[in-house]
Amino acid sequence: MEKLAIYEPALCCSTGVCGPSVDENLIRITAVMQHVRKVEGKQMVRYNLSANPNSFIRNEAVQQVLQEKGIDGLPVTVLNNDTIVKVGDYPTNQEIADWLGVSLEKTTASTVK
Amino acid sequence: MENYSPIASDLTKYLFFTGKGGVGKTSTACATAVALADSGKRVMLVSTDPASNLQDVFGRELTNKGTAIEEVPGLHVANFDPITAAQEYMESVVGPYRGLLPESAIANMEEQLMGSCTVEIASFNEFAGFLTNPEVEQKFDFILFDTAPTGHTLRMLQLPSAWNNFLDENTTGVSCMGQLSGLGDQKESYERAVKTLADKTKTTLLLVTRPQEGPNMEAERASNELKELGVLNQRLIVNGVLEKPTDAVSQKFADEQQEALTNMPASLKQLPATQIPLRSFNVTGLENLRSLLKDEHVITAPASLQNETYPALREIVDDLVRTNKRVVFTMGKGGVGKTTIAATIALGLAEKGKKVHLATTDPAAHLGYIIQESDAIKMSRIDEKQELADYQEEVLTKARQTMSPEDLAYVEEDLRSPCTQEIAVFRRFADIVATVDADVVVIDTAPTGHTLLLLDSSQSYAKEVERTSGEVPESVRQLLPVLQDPQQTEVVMVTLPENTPVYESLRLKEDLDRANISHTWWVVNNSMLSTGTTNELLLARAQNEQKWIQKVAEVSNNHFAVVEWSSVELKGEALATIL
Repeated sequence: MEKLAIYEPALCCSTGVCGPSVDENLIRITAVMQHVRKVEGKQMVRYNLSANPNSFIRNEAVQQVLQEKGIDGLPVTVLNNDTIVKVGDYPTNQEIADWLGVSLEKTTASTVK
Repeated sequence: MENYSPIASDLTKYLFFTGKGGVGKTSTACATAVALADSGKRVMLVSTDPASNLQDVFGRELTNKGTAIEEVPGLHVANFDPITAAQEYMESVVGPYRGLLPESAIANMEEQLMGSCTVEIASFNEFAGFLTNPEVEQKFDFILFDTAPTGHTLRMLQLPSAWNNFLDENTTGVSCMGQLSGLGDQKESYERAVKTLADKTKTTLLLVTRPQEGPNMEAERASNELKELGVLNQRLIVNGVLEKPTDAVSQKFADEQQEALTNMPASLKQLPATQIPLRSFNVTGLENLRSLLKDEHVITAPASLQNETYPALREIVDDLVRTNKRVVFTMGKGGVGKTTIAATIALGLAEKGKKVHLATTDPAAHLGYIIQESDAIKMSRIDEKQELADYQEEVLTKARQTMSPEDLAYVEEDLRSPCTQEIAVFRRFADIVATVDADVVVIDTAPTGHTLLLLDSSQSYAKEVERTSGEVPESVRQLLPVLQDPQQTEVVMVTLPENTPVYESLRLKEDLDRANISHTWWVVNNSMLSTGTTNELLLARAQNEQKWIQKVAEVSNNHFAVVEWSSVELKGEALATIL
């Protein structure tokens, strides 16, 4: 089972719409997750700082990033529980596709950064 | 309209009182509870209003479990403060991580849980608890609540996405809903609660309003929203009707009330309605509670007013000029008079030679009457509804490209939250500030500290341009530091000399403090004190005002002004009379 986990900063409303502008990444990632959900052997999860703070503590690699960079280091993307693959920004569709070995061409979101 | 009488009203077991802050929900709910208990019923009154002074009303300490009131056999009262509950919830979530996570992470978590949504959910948690408790159902004939869940909260909780996301570990994490974990099997309890709410034989929604436009509009909004959610058994109670004017001031006062009643929105007019006459006494203490709904005229000692002179609005204007402020907001709950005060301040500044730009959110119809554009004063109208619609459409267009209908429904509901409205307006305001050519920009609304903090924190993770694809508009980015600069910005807090409005203003102030937005001045609007009225009821009202004006004086460190209730329609040059 390939597992990709994104550790995100706390959000007041899960879609981020109540922020100053909608973070397109949130929308894009949601779509990607829906897609990955359907693929066998691949898993993608998101942990939010206010809803799942335990997850942040439990993962040493993530804790490390937090200590060094504070929340500016978020979102942190972790592959298979211990490999940090991206810090400080959301992964692109291409990156997710590569790490998980899935095809994401069907999701219409553009590869924003 | 007949006078409101709980006994004669054929009320259902569950009663929710709703209405704009300050209309008298708590007083009416308390009086209703006492009347029902006096008639031999077993009554539980639950106050979830953070502003409610239930402990003062009943003269004792109360808990959220229910205290028997010996002097009123059959009556139990529970006092629940959703703000404290929300804070406790926040602490329970964040507390264990202090020291384990860095400061910035803790701050991030805290702020997200400090919005009004968290408070709403705390309240809802409490409602649902009472609505689904079989013991409570058995023990009491009537269960009353002095507030009601908002349409937004109820709709949010109805969305499948909300529950799936919350329960599913592959989750974006709906932080504000975390409190519902107290309900055990949340979804089922919630469904039962909503079913009870929508059952006409079980629940009555009592919309409390004043004979005034603002409260009526709020009542209409709540009525429609809750009707859509199936809460069909609704009644209207118009509180504070002045029936017998005795002088010019009270005549005008009564005339305005009648006009508001005549112009009441059609949907409200269809509801069964009763009224409560304006009283000369405060609704504290059981004797007064019992008198509130009785027909007999209660004779009270004539009010004696101290002859105080309070500072006038002009002092504020002078200070703004002296300190060279660039941006001035008037802030306060709906209906306190932000637009009038903002326009008057603009007028005052222009008189002093400043080039002023007045931005207003007041619906177009009113504005043309308030002030005339001139060389000194330019105006912009911010159409709140349009801004919100534009913003929603902007977001949804993007979301539609990638989201499932279920998730889209969730985004849509998020877009109906009050925060979104604030942000939409704020963006427009930021545009104005960035583009106008004026010495001072005055705007008659302000975002809450919470919203500003959200904007601010997103700015900090938007430090490098590449960091965020969600574009924080440049104008917004430029405005935030200006707002936090006390040299440039002033937020004038507008309030009324009454319990709930002052209380609400204090909460807004705390919010601003948290966001480091500087604010110095307060304006107490619509004061009866110096009108010279001889009407007994209005005099009693005026006497009550003194306590609240004193409170504002303290909180503002004597940086306040009192504006008199005006018996003439204020527009154009007439605004200068309240300077």
